[in-house]
Amino acid sequence: MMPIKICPGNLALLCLFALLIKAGFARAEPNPEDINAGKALYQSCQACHGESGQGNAQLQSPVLAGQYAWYIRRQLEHFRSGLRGAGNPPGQQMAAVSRQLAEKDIARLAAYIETLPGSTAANTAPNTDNKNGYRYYQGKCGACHGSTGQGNVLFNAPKLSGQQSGYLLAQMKHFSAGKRGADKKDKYGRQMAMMAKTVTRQQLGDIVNYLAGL
Amino acid sequence: MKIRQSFTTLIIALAFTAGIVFAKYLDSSGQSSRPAVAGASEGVSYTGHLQAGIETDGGKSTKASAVSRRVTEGKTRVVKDGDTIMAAVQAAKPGDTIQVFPGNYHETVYIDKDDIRLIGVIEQGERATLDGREQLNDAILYSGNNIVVENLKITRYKGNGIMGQAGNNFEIRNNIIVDTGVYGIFPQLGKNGIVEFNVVSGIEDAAIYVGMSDNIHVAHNDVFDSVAGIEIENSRHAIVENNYVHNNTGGILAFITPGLPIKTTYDVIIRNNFVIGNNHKNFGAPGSTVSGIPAGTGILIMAADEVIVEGNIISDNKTAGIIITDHENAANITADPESDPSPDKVMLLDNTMINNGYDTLDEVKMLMLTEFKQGHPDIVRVGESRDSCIVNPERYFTLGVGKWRRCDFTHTSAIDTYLLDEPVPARDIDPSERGKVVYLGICSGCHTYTGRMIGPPVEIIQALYMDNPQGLADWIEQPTKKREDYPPMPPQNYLDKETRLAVAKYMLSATN
Repeated sequence: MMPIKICPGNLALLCLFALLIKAGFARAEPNPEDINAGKALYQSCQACHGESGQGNAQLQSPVLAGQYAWYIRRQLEHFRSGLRGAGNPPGQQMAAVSRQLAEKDIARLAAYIETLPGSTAANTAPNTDNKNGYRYYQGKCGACHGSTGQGNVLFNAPKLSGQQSGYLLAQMKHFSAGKRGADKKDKYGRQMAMMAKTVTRQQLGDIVNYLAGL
Repeated sequence: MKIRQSFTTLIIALAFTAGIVFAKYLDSSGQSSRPAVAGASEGVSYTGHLQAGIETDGGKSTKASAVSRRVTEGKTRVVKDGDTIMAAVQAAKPGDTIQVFPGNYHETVYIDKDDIRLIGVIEQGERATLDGREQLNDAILYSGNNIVVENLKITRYKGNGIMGQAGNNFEIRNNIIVDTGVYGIFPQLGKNGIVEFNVVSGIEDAAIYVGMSDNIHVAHNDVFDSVAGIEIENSRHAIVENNYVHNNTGGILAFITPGLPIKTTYDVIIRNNFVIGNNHKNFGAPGSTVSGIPAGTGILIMAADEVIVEGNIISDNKTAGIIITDHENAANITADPESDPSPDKVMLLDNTMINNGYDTLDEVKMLMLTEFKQGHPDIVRVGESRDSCIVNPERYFTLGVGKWRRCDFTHTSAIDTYLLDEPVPARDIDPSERGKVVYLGICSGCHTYTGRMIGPPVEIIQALYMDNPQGLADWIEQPTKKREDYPPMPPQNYLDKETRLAVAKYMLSATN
């Protein structure tokens, strides 16, 4: 038997690396004043996204809790500039809301939302009832969004774990139908749209079920 | 695979000339009229692709070499502790031999010329040791033809011990390889090569990985403590014999990995190996192809065709002795519309199987229920497998092979080797093909089109770099660590600038 170490020989450096780059994956320390200001601003989001950012499937409002501040910021800016939201009612509502926000409000709001305890990916094992969801998630999504849907700032890829299935399905539809990620200026949206077009309906259903189980 | 009419004719002709009464094996119901106790040394031999002279010149041969014979010996260059091997390679000309004396060498050696022999000198049991100190990715990379690598010790690298990148006629012999990252010995896209008498252990994917290659002989290796012991993947005309394969997660694998540029694996003979106690915990990266291999798998045949398993001792593998599966039933595999997902014409001859399947998977237990059986499975087949056969099935505890016919032959002794009589002429690469050859010879060692093998799928790379081949070329030269749960990508900075851009462009245009 090989001794099982926390960092086995050939992974030792990898582990070290992981420790070193943890800083990169960690969240920037926001300043408490911004967070408090963000909390006050969040009052007007609660009606749809819930007081702890849990979202509301009936209203097609996604989960926000624990989503990275950089992603929330980018989306609010896209809603405001019209890169996102056209052609679907919840998106149009968001576009209207985002135009009420000043630049620095967006940053504060995002900083607060990031502090809300979201669900974390705890389940890394493939669910045997949904082998397809796991294999296609790993094949199509995991390289950017992380093996357990944790997101990755280095690819500008948001966290997916804990998100509602309905919201994920709707966004994938927008991406593949050219409603989202079609504009030349939206580089990351275009990357996502390209991938969305490679996923079949069956695969997408399985992937979303896999994510819902995380 | 085409089923050749001539094959049957030939077999029958052979049978008659040998004067064997053969009817008992040809009973259409697959039931023999007498207790079928076929001895392995008598009866008819499988002749495989011997008659397909275009594909292989294998057969009776006493050859033990794959490289071209030298007409004139070049220079012998001596490397001693304190020198670098790479300096000797740079100075060498085709036809030279590089002798490496015992010592500690901390470097990556890249051989991009033909006909170089890199031979370690062993003194009093001391060897030349390439030590990556967990910092370097690759120990030895070769893209030349007629390369020999012998007698070295290689340890503590992060990528590959010895990787062939589209080099033909190679011999990798008598090396000790311990903990070299993803692959131990990895000839990729090579034709006509030998991997023998190596001791390989502690590898997080495959200890010996024959990838997209043809006419290969893997023999007399000791392979252990790795996730996959010996893998024959997307390759044809390969013999794996007389190896000792133990304490890996999975012992010997014949695979089609979907999403690679070369789509088939067929004509593989796995014979006379010890496949013992491959129960090692799977330590492959979660989500990767290899992480889907259940611990306790002796031999795994996934989607490969014409695989013969003969004369092996297969014991103490807790999940099963032999698993035969299609793509659909294998974990972590995404489908490839261009690969036939089912393992067809699998031929299980006599093997000695003891104490397998004693702690098997729930899926296998479910399968037992459907066959109203209880016990410890030696052989498990899931998914479709057309036209497969088995000799003496009553000797083993089997699942899913009850309807298989009896094979028309009992051994493979007509085939000594699939090595070529005449080594392959040197590859002539048209400059316009450069990107493609490098993509096949290097990139597809870790990246498939749609699945997660080692690195991210090519499809995703295409989305990330859609209008930016130069950005991808820069990454290839100097990758950084961006994914916490993927191994680091080795810098491919030994390739020149034009080549890096050519391969980036090719990669962004690949379609499967």
